[in-house]
Amino acid sequence: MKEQEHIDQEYLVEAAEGARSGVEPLIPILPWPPRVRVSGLYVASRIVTPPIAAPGPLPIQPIPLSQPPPGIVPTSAAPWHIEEILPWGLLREELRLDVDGRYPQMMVSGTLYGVLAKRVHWIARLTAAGPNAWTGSIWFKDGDVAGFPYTAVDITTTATLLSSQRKAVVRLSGGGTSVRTRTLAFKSPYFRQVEFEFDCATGVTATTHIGTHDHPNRPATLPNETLTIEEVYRRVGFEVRKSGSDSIVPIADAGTNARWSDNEMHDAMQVYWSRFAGKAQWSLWVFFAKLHEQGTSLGGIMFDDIGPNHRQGTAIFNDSFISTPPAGDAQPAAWVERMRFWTACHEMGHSFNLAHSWQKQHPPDWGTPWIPLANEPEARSFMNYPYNVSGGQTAFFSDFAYRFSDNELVFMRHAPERFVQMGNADWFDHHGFEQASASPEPSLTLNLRVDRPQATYQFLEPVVLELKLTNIGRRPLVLERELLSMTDHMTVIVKKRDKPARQYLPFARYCHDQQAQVVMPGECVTDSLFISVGRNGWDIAEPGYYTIQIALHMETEDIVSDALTIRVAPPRGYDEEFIAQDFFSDDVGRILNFDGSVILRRGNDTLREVNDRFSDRAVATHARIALAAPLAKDYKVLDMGDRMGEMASAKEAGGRLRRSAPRIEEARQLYTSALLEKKEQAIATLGRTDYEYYLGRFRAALVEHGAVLKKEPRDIKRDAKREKSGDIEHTMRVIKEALSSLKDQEPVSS
Amino acid sequence: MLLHIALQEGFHHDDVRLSVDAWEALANGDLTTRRQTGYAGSVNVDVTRSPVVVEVALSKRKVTQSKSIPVDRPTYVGLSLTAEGGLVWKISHEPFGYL
Repeated sequence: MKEQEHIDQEYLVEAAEGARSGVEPLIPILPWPPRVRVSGLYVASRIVTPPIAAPGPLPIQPIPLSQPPPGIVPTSAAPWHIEEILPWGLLREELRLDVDGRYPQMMVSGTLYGVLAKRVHWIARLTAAGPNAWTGSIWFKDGDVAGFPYTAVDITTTATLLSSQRKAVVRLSGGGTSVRTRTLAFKSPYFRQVEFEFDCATGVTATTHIGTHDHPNRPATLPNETLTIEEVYRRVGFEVRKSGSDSIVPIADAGTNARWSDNEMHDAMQVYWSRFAGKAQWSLWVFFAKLHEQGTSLGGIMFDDIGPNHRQGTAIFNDSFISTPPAGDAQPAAWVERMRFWTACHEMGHSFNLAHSWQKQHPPDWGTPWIPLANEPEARSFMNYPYNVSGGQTAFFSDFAYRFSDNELVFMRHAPERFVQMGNADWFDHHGFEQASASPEPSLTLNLRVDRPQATYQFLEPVVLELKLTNIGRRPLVLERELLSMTDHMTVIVKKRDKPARQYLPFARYCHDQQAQVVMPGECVTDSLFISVGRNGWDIAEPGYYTIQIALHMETEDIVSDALTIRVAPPRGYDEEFIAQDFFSDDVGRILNFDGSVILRRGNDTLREVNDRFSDRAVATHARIALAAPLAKDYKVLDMGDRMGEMASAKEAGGRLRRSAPRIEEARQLYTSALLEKKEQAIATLGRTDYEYYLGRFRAALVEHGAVLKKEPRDIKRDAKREKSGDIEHTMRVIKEALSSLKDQEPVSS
Repeated sequence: MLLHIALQEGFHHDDVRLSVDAWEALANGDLTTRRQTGYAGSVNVDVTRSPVVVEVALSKRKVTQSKSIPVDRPTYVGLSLTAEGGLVWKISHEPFGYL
């Protein structure tokens, strides 16, 4: 009943707004027949009793919609089939349809909650396809996306005034799989729920509502109403509730100076917020006080970037500059009330993980740059500073409709819950959220893999991913041969659980000759990516779970990979913990990344220690490869003499290139130990691609230093073909033959 | 006369040195902007002549800039770094506010 009342109110507001364009009539003109608002939350759920043996989804026969249930009037002519229950393994399905009502964004997002905490979140942009039908492309996916290949969505809603009978039929298609059709029941005109609690310091009054016409500087079309903070967020799409426990915080809690520090407010939040809990929840504490310890220059702050659950508390300071109206303002008291109200909505926006309007684009070291937004420096949004726009605060409020920008609305309504919900993602983590320019019908798919049954890594073990780019279209594609090794075409995100995401920045970018290759339908190209360490330092080091995702930026579209979650195991003992201090250094990172160095001596010492003391561990394989590579060839070193390390040109320092002679016997032992003695372990930790590459380097080093490969001319062509196709067994036979030939010769000197 | 110099957007573990007429007014080896307010730090200097030369040096970024600023009334200088690493100067006669 309450929902229906709200819908009726919204309908009247929309009708009144529709009539406002121009001279207002004396008698309101309402459209007829009345439009039924369909935006809101739709759900389907079931109680699942997992079967004893669950080989996969149980086949569910679709039910033809030959006779629609009473009250349901499908408006699409398409002969859709509707499954009335969810498949095995799926606990709950949500749909947020955003096509009408306040500030419609023509978006739809869905979340599928499965067993074992599996979850998929998707978002699509919609266009109308009929009176109650919409169609669109999915441009965002998050979660366990491997089982969600769909790229397009069609939605049809029922046209009934009875919300209990309102339904949405959702048809997902594309991605090379069969069409998936579901019916979801209307649950709420709101997309999400949130709860606010407003507490005040002693002697402070909270400004939680204003009269929109109290100040004369306003848009001419702004409705005259009493607007509350709750209503602002209802218009965002939240079902807002109050905790019912608004209270007074004694001033003594601010210490002797009566100004509040962030820590004092955090302490007060724990004591006075009736809902405080160390967990993510859709609940927010709003505190009204006089001054922050920073003084009058701070009008408010989302102070809660403390501890593990950020964004739960925010504060407004009534005695700060927000209470100083401009000189000569026509209604100074109303100006102050409006500014306090605006500030409260603004600071609360930060708690929903919204950045300032000019902070949407930023360098990666600020935080998660996932897929960045454009800055909105002139936005008439709660998240902009009124005095920063052209024309200052007068210009801002003359055109401000007490709302958030469209991008901000999309974020709060449709972004994955964990990005937005208080206490979930860290402040500023994932705030930059926008569509990738992904094609609705991609011709390529990018998969991240590891060469092991479970993606678990030993402590200290570097992570090497296998990238696989597959042509899933129907036509041959011409791709650059080195596409997957050109990391400047990629955005690589590494996110440790409960930590902000980081962008992996490789130590070096490589410039390749542009050589094309044809990839036929169904064919793939592969490459490896050494991802543990880069210019940001060690992105993967501490024990825990990490999620990795890559966007490959092609000329006309972005190919976004599935997300791969890996686990780094805890250290095996004190020795591993101890050496970690030296191992997770920039030197070791560079040596491993560039396959060796003769200059970075401390790093090499660490790797030798790893090889000696942890010879049975996977990290030793990487150490051996990195130590072997520079020993296996003539190595040129720029000798700067006594001025090594100074910022001086080689000419100034009298630098000269010095040759470091190969030490092939040491290299042979290290390569043999790394690549031949425990082949499966080596493939698992290096990845198949890199394993083949290092085998090739080993063979080349042996041949260069005297090994003889007995080969008949007729075998040469066949062998080349085998090597090209990655025949590891063949390459190993060749190496063993080469090693055998060396044994027959004099010992190889260094 | 008051000269207020605020370090605002874009600082991230920066080594910042501010001087006014060659007198070191602020030195901070690890300055970071709090993104929820766009504020990193500030200093008030009482100057006795106008104009003064304000110099800012960001050693990690290898950026040094100076500017002559008239201070014939209370003056507020805001320094921000752009996403590309450029330094932006904002001069005002009203105090800055942060939200």
